[in-house]
Formats: sequence, C-alpha cells, structure tokens
Amino acid sequence: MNAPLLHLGACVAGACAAVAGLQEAALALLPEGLLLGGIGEGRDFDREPLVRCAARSLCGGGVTSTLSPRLTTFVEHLFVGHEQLVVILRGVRYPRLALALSCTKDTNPAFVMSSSRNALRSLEATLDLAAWEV
Amino acid sequence: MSDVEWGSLMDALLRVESLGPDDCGLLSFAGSSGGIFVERGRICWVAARGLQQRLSDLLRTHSSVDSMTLDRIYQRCRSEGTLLGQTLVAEGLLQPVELERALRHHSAECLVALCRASQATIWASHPGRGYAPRFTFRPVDLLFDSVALVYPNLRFEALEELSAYSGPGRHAVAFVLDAEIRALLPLAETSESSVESVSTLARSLLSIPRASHELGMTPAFTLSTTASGDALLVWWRKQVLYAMACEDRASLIAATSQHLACA
Repeated sequence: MNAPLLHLGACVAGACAAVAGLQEAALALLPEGLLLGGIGEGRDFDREPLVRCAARSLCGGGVTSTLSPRLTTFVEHLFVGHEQLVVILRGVRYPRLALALSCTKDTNPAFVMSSSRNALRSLEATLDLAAWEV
Repeated sequence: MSDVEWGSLMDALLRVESLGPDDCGLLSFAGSSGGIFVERGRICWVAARGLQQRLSDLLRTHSSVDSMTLDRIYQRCRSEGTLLGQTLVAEGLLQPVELERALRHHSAECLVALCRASQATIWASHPGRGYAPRFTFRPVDLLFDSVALVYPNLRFEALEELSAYSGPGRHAVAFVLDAEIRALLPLAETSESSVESVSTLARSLLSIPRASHELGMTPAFTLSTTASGDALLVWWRKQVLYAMACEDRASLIAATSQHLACA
C-alpha cells in the first residue's frame, strides 16, 4: 500500500523502529539533499546535518578502492564517532533515495547496519515517491 | 602547505605512466628548464636546471667515495659516454641500494623544482642509454617521494601507522590533506598502485572528510562500501587520511575490530 507523502515522518519512524539506539533518522532525495521526512528530537531543520552528510558522501562523483581501479559509487557509509554512530545508505531500488540515521555509540555497528538496510528496504517497498519524480 | 603545482606534477607523471613498456625518451617541461628521462617506460632520472651539482652531493653523501675520485670517474664516464651511477656501483664504490636512494631523492627534488609553476610538457622519443631496470622506477614511486619531500615527518608517521595495520590481502594508501588546494596528496602505500589509481582514489575519498564536516564530528573511522562491493576502511591521524581495502571479509572484520577497540 502506498503511504501518503504527508506521513513520511511516520513511515520513517515505523521502518526504523528496529534500529537499536536510534537517535534520529532522515529520508532524503539525492543529489539535491532534500529532506523528505525524518524523526528525532527537535524540528525537521535539525536533520539537515544528516541530510547534507548523505548528499556529500553519496554524490561525490566516481569512486575507486585500493582493490579495484574501476570507477563506481559509494552506496553505504558507517561513521564511527566517539559519541555516536552515523549510517548513510543509498537506495537500492531508488538510487536517488538516501536514508541517514544516527545511533548511540554503545550499539553494535553490525546490527545497526543490518537493521538500517532493512529499514530502507521497507521504505522503498512501501513509499510512493512518484510525486518526487523518483 | 607547499608551493608545488601538484596538478602539473601529477599530469606529467600520468603522461609517463601512459607510455608503452618499450618507450625511451625525454618528457621536457616548457622553457627547457628540465625534464623526466624515461627508459623502457620507467623513469631513470629527472633533471632540473640548477640542481645538477645536487646529484654529486647526494652520491657523496650516500657513499664513501671522495670528491676527487668522483670527479675523475665523472670525467671518464663523460668521455666514454657511460653512466656515472652504474659505473660507481660496478667499481664497488657505491652500493646498488645507495644509488637507487640517491637517484630517487634527486629525481623527486628536481620534479618538485620543475613543478613550482604550471608548465606544459613535451614528449620526445630517443634511443635508450642502457639504464639497468634496477636503477629505474615507476612514476608512482616518484609521486610518493615528491610528496614526502614536502611532508617528510608525515611520511615517516604514515609508514609507521600503515605497518600497524598491514597484513596479507590488505591494501592501504596514506594521503596528506593539503589545506591550500583542498586535495589529498598520496604519501605512502602498502599496495602496488599507479599514479592514476591513487589520484582517482584521492578524489573519491575527499567526500568522506567533507561529509564528516557536515556532521560536525571527526569520526574514529569510517567504513564505506562501493556499488561493486568493495569496503574501504578510512581513518585520520592528524592531517593524514588512511584508506584500506581488504581482499577477504575476515581481514576486513579484523581490521575494523582493531579500530573499534580504539574508538
């Protein structure tokens, strides 16, 4: 069933419910870095650092690794800070979609990554983003 | 910070890297201030106006040969058309590793001197002079040496840091952030890379510190995955950024755990 756009924040909250230690989450449109919906303390404006981080880290142009010289793109980032973990994921079904979230530092990074991937998968399966030309 | 035109330096080395394995010749810098001599696709040395004497100084520093002997052998090599460094090695006056070190150091100094300003380069083929492959080097070696000349202490620290995380199947490169040009410059590596691959990797990695800046945090480390499935472990120490990829998952998990323990 498609979710109305007005309830995107609620959809993000539902999809991210299983992410342990969740502090805030933002669903954004790339490459513009447009916030579609978010949850966490404060107002939507407080999600801007997460959204800008997603736009910067996923839209930096072609990337390579020390293993493969073939140009590709980043699809996931886990930033391990001294106080929190930040996860940035690019949409699989909709590559213009990004889910960015932060969690408390004491959570297991592997669990945070897998539950975040599930959350994005769930959002991509339920949201109707046609209005955003996604 | 430095007054080196890193873009010109990398362009020149990329041009050498694109040559074939049998190419010999000179990549000269406009204004004839010097150039990069190439023997069978590899760099044999770099010359810059005003730094000719410097090679003699380095050879004297790296060997037990005195000035009079060096001058005598130099004159003989000149009249016979033979190579000074290789003659010194052949006559037991210089260890091969000492010649390698002196040639690379001198070449890096010359290349940095040639790239103080943006200059066009011109390639001219000519027959090889018979440099032994042992005394020639890859363009990427010269790139690392040139950056290390400008940041000597950071190079030493980077090699120490890389050795702490080195292991089979792990490929890492250290970059220094040049704040003036806002670019990452390759400083040291534990992999067999090329000028092209490290410069592309440097551009790719710039997005990570920029993204961290948006969060207002300096992460202990970042684990980033590409669409082709490669995972890159990225971390900072002072102004040096390290990027490491692992060939197998177990090695990646072990390296990540090492970082988590310190986070």
